[in-house]
Amino acid sequence: MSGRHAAAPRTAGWVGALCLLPGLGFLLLLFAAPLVWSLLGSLGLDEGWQGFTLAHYQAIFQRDALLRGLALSLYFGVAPVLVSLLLSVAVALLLRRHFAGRAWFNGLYKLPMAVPGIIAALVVMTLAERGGFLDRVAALLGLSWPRMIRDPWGIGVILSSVWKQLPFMTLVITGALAAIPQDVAAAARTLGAGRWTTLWRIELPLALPGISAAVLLSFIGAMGSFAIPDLVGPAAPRPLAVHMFAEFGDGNLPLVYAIGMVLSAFSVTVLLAYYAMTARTQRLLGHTGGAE
Amino acid sequence: MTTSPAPSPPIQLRVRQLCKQFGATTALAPTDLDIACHEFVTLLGPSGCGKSSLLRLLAGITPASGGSIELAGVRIDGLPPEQRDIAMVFQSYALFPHLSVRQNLVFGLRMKRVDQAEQRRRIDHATAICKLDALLARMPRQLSGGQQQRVALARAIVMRPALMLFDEPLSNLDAKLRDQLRDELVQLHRSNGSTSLYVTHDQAEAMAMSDRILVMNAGTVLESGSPLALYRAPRHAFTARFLGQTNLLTLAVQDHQAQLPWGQGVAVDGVRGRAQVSVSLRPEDLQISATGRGDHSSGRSSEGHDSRPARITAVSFAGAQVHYTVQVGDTALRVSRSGSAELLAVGAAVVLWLATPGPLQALAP
Repeated sequence: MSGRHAAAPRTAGWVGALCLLPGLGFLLLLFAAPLVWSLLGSLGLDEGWQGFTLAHYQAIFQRDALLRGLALSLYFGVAPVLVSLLLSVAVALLLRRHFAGRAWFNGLYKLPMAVPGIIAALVVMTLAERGGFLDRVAALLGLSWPRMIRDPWGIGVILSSVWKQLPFMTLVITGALAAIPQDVAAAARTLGAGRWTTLWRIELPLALPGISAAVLLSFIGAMGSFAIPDLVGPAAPRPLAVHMFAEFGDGNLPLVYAIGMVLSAFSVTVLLAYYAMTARTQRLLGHTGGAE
Repeated sequence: MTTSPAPSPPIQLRVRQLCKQFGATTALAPTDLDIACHEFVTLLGPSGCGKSSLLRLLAGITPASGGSIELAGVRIDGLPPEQRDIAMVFQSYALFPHLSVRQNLVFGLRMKRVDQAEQRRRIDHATAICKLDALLARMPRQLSGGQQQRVALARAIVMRPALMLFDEPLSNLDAKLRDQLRDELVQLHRSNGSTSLYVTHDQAEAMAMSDRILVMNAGTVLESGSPLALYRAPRHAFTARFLGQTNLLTLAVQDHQAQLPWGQGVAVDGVRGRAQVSVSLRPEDLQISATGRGDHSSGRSSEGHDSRPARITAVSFAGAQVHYTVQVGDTALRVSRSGSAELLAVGAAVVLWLATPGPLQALAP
């Protein structure tokens, strides 16, 4: 308030900025710079200096293969997450109960988180491909195994993505459910709500910030995933990430940048929507957020 | 089937041999409990004594290990909590943080499919007695602790349950608000006459509110009685210690007669022949008066007993009362006197005597 104090924050500000530099500089150098570079590149403003153009973006929204690729990227983002959401809520509820081997299960289910997507795809491939393990088991029973790998519905992609997402989503949702005070659920029960009503009306709404975080992060990961659709996805159409790789191989860098920007724009939009939504819930529930 | 045409109010809650084991630990030893219609009963005990466990067993939140619960003549121990017609007020308030005050209040009524007009009537009524009119549109986090507990209370009241359970509802509030809400709870109970079981570790709360107190320790109900009876004539040393302040003395009794440390003879009940027993002497039942300075001969009390000399070793002034610690031989005793009496100084020589007539009660350990 006084003049003596007015000088102090300015110095403190510089010191603060310097202290932030290792972290912030890291972000600027490794995150912001490539992003800006990609943006410039996608607009034809990189080293070639062809001059400003929106042609590469136009290509995405006009070339049929790329437009269908965009739709497929969204499909490969959304479909597995819906499946994972149902399964992970079920597993999270299961983990709240006591059963024999719970401790083992609780430790083991997290393992797939450490496995890269490409391995997940290979696992699903060996299991579910025609002539694979499950096909041979089905054949023993006289059944024919449906086509799941490189199939038009992308079932192989969905299976692999779910395999990869499930532990992460379960972990986050288990935590979100555990954070709800037990008395709140007990109060709902004494007020006449059955187990499922309590889950639906009280517990899931209160766990929503955690659930939506898990959903959105998994969506972003699956939408931009390359290895899984490339290995087990249909031959055509192909999602944007796979197109990106192909265009990169052909040396069409500006288009690669543009595709990257479009994928990033979707992810960022989703994240911003999430922030807006959680800010509202947090205000409602009275958690103290960082922002003033 | 009932043999006695009891004129006393009918039993609303009848608990028989209810118990809870957590592995090897006993949270609640087999317990019997009867609560009459409209009765306000308090479970009093230190934290971890099993009183909250008992409430949770009654509400059905925790499954019992054995025993039976009958509410208004119907066995309910096999029912889930939502079918028990018991409402509970929690220490943590347990409001639904994502619902407004009004939505919190209406939640239970919707669950029980109470019709709209009746919902509105009950909510208006509960809102009025809990003074929530101005708060109905707020979210729980916008309320103070006292307001939140009022909402929790109203949320239970609208249910018109056969039994109300209170799990230390006031212990998270500051002292002044606690006293105020305590009085309001008593008022409320008088006006709506709900059968209530109230858990607390606060003896003042228990004594001020209850028709009857059940004293619990280590998973067992030790004894029960009116606040006055338990305070004046506890049967257990634990009760004497837990309800108010007391002096526990061990006396050698022979043929119902014993001598207090300062020489006064007293009658002791509840013991046969010759035995060592514990008795409780309330600080306000002991009286002291100053003897002349330097008077080392035995003082004479007003009752005419020969009294061994006693000396004040500590004084604590608490306004309405003054608490003294008085040393007689090896025994230190608490004595309280009215704050308006003459203040005695540390080191003063005093005569000490027990002023209550009637025999002392030998206490169970």
